[in-house]
Amino acid sequence: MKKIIIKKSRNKQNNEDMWLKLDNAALIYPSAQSNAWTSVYRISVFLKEEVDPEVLQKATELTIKRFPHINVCIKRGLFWYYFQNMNKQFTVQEETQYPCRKIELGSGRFLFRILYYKNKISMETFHSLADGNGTKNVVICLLGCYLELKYKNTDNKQLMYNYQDRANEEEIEDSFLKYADLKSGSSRKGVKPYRINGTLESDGKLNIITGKLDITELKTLTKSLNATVTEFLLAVYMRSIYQNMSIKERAKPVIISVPVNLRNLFPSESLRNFSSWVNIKLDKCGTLEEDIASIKEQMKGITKEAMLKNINSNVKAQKNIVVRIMPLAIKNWALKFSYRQFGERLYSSVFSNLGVVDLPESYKEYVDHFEFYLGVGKYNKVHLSAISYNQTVAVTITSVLKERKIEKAFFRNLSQLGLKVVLDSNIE
Amino acid sequence: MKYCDKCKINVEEHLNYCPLCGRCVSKDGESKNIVQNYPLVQKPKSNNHFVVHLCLWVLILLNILTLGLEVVLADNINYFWHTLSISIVLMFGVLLPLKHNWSINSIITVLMVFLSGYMLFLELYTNSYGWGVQYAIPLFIFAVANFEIITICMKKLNRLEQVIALFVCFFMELGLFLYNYLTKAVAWPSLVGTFETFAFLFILFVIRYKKTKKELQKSFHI
Repeated sequence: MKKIIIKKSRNKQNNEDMWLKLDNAALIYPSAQSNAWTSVYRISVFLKEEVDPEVLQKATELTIKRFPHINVCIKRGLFWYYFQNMNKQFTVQEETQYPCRKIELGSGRFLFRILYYKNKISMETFHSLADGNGTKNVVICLLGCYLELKYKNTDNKQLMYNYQDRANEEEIEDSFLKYADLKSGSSRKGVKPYRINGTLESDGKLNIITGKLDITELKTLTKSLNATVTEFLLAVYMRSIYQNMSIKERAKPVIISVPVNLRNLFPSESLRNFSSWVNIKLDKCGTLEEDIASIKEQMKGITKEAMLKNINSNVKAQKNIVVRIMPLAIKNWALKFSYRQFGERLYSSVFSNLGVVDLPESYKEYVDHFEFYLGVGKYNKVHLSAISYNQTVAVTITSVLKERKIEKAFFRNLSQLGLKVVLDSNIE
Repeated sequence: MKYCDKCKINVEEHLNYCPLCGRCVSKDGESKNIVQNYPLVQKPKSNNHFVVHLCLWVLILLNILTLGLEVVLADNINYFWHTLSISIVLMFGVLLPLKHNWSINSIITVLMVFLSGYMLFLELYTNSYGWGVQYAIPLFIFAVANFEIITICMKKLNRLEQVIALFVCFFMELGLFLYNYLTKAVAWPSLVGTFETFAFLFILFVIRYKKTKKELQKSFHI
């Protein structure tokens, strides 16, 4: 069943010259990428001391060797894009621009950035390369390597991915193809959701407002509401959007797309894309408890069977003979069109919770907290993301709109619920 | 840690303004936010915008001029085709690579450059105009080139420039079509162009009416 997905180039003698097929979820991103929808997300780790760029450079080089699937550029084939192994040295850069800028694709261009700024190390990744969980593991490995080189802390041996290990085939497999049974697919039809509108920022500026919450406080509150952290934050976010809608707009539902980590449902070790989604709908705003109950009910839809249907419909489309023989230039148009019709148009925003970052106890001495930002879409200009480490949950709203009505409502609502929120932002 | 009374929320020590409501939370009256965890972004200076603008207008004017001269002075439009071919080479050899950071990465681009070169070669060094050269290839090139010109116009120009460019294109195509039709020459390529530019004008004025109106009001505001 399992295919060998790394193939040696037939024409070249160089053993390092490998190529890799894009996984099923990765196929859409190069075609649909634009200045407005960059498909780039960022995971940042805030250290307690200033970052040493030379050590970071060395750590990055060692980490890239550990993860061959990120040491690639994307190239155009006649029918599909493909990943080509890179023999070029990667250089870390000082952060000088707004987060989640477009990553230019093409020969000799890496699909990720490692940036440093004061005490922050950030990794920005093009979504074709890996999903949030895949990148989280790379960042943790990089952090472990950096701390070993800088502070001689050797606790990185306890990490799941250590830079000294070797990559194995399971880490770079396309799990979508592995688990798809191609029996029944899911329907892509949906109702027209409410769209968050406003004045666009110029020059690709991405406004970021991060609220840091105390995890114990948050968990006590969510426990009293009989909800998980994801359900609670989702309910508050949806209510904040709803509060800003006019009476006329309230005829449309607020629909939030929530990525689902399929590794929790299928026994996959893939570090590439292996996530699906579930769209959570809010037609009418009730009390917080009622909204949480409604979200809880919809979250029950995250089952192995339902996710398999999502996988099946995507893999079926990829396996379709008409799609396969279509030249890439035409396929790009078709993919872009289908993504706009059946993807982004079906929801109002995205909420991605990367969960808890699990690090050895001794790392608390060096690491303050993590942050996670999503780049925005072409139609959906505001996204919410969350990540937690140690005692801090960092909840971030990224937006390309000048108005900050959603952010205002969201963080004020959290504060009114008795949570201690500390805000940070890149707004000057 | 600072506190915003309006939002009833804590704000990081280094910030002087609440990021939600803009209320000053500074204790010493600092006038600027100190964004500690993010760099101050310098806007990149780019000449791309200007170069693309200039090239586009030179191409459009060149085509209008050649067509006008031929309509007035000559009884055929061979030179117009010639100019159009060179324009297309410029468009796909210079403008699009510029747009894509100097990497020719589109199969269509390569195909168009090849076809334009082939047409030029036939025109300059042979007299062998077949039906393919005379009808099919010009039709194809004309349609794609127009589409690309308009696409670039839409992305790079402001609304007033878009309206002017589309009107110029529309009347150019319409004039060419009428001329071709009256002289019983091949009229299809220019007919395609006429419909195409008309469709874009339609989109601009009917579907995006509100935005266009607002933008034009801004342009003509004294």
